[in-house]
Amino acid sequence: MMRAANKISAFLFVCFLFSYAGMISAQEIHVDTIKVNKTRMINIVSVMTVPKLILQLSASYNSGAMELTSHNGGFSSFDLTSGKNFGARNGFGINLTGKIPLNKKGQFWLDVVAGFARFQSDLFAQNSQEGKVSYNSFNGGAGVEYNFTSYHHVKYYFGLNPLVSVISGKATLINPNDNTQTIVTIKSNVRVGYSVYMGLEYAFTKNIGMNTGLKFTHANLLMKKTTDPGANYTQVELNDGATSAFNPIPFGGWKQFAYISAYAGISYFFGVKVNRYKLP
Amino acid sequence: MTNLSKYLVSVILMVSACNILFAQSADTSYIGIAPANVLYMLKHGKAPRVTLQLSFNYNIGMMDLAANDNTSFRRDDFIAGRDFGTRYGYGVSLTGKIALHKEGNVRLNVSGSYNRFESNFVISESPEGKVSYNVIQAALGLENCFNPDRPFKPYIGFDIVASFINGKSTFKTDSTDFNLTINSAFRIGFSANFGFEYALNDKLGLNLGVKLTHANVIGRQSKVSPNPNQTYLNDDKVTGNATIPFAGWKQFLYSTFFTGVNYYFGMKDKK
Repeated sequence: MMRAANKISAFLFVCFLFSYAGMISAQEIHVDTIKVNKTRMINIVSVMTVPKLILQLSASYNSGAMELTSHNGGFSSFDLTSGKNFGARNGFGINLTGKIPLNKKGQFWLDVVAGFARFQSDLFAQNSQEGKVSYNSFNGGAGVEYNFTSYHHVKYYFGLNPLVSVISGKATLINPNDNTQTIVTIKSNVRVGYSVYMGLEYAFTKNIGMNTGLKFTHANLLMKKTTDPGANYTQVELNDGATSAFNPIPFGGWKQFAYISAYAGISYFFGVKVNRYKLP
Repeated sequence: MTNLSKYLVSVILMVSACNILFAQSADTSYIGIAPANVLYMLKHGKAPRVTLQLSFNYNIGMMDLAANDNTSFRRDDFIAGRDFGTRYGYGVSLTGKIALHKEGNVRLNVSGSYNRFESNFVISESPEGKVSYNVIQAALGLENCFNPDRPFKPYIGFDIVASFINGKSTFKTDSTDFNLTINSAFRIGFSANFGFEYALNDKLGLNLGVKLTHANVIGRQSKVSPNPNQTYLNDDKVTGNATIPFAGWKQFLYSTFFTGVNYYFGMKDKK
């Protein structure tokens, strides 16, 4: 029984070898009688289409500019209450952006932005003997972006969008003489400004990618206003409008809520097809 | 069946299966012949060996170079060393970009630049006085250009920057103005930049970008000047009870928006 199985196996193996050998010898000897399939090289290139929609989620580090800064890296109670600056310098944030192409080639995009930014005087700063202040800014807007390479893996862009921000905050002021604390609530205020940005998206696949870039935001270009909170202030407005030197208002002064953001995050590309073309 | 026969049958089946797989591995499907725009994308030019970039800068000071609270120079803050007393500036930069390999993606950047900050630039002059700084810089760094052989060339770079910073200030008084000279100081810092170049032809192009410069990371110092009309940059912490005029922990940090022209050597643009 075992010998019979061995014979069958050996027979199959020999048949297999002969079939290959036969093919080889047939090609070498009977060229004129056998039709030979010639190998033909074709070059195919894959090209991604422009996304129908891009959703971009990014986190940012924000560095204050103009009056959204503090001196020597620390918090100064006097600077805040006299309205010289906002008293905070560093912050962080998160943004969700939807991008819709406005033309077939995907050069112009409508960007719809929603974000949150927080600034804290005690972020990266140690000297807070005089207290601290923090701001929350919820913002949203719509604008236009120009994308240089929308159908490539790496998509470079720059854009501008008007921005509506709702800014609120909270300050803790410490009296250096007796260490008593005064809590001041900065009420929600609506301001209108803008953001300009430039960055890139890198598509890992046709659907998923990453993004990184730089953004400059001037949140309170319009609607600056200063309101007198009275003598015993525990609640104040943002008080970013100009005041008179002869009639100072607590926390009031001409201040720009401006900052630069370095951001990075993930992008999701909707409606991308990969078209395969044969090169001529 | 013996082991030998099992192996033989298995090998035969595997070889046959491999032949089938190899025949199917190459996906030769396509939707048509590549159109002209796709063919254009595939054409490559020759990356420049050297690029000379001349840029004009608009600078916005940050951190302690974002002084002038309420857009007015404040003499007391400046004298107390709380800030540098200025916010806005302008300048010019000349950068040589040398490709470090044939593809031209990685470039060695050698830069020289001049920037000036003035407390009365963009904003009106304060009744308390004014201050200005001259910043002469040399930088050496690396840059990655993403599309060096194409007309549109985005890039990202990082430089080590050596700066000579000096300045001048005038304080208004009831009688004669008080003039102060800020002696030249040497500082080392860094800059990170991100921008685009667009080649108009094989020789000329335009550039646009943004740069963040922290000029005084290394070399901070605060000391008293023997001459009352002179001071040092005084950007270091003052410890203990000592009082040094104009001294405090200050960052010479600014953002630059730049634009200018490029001249390319050894570039062959795709046609």
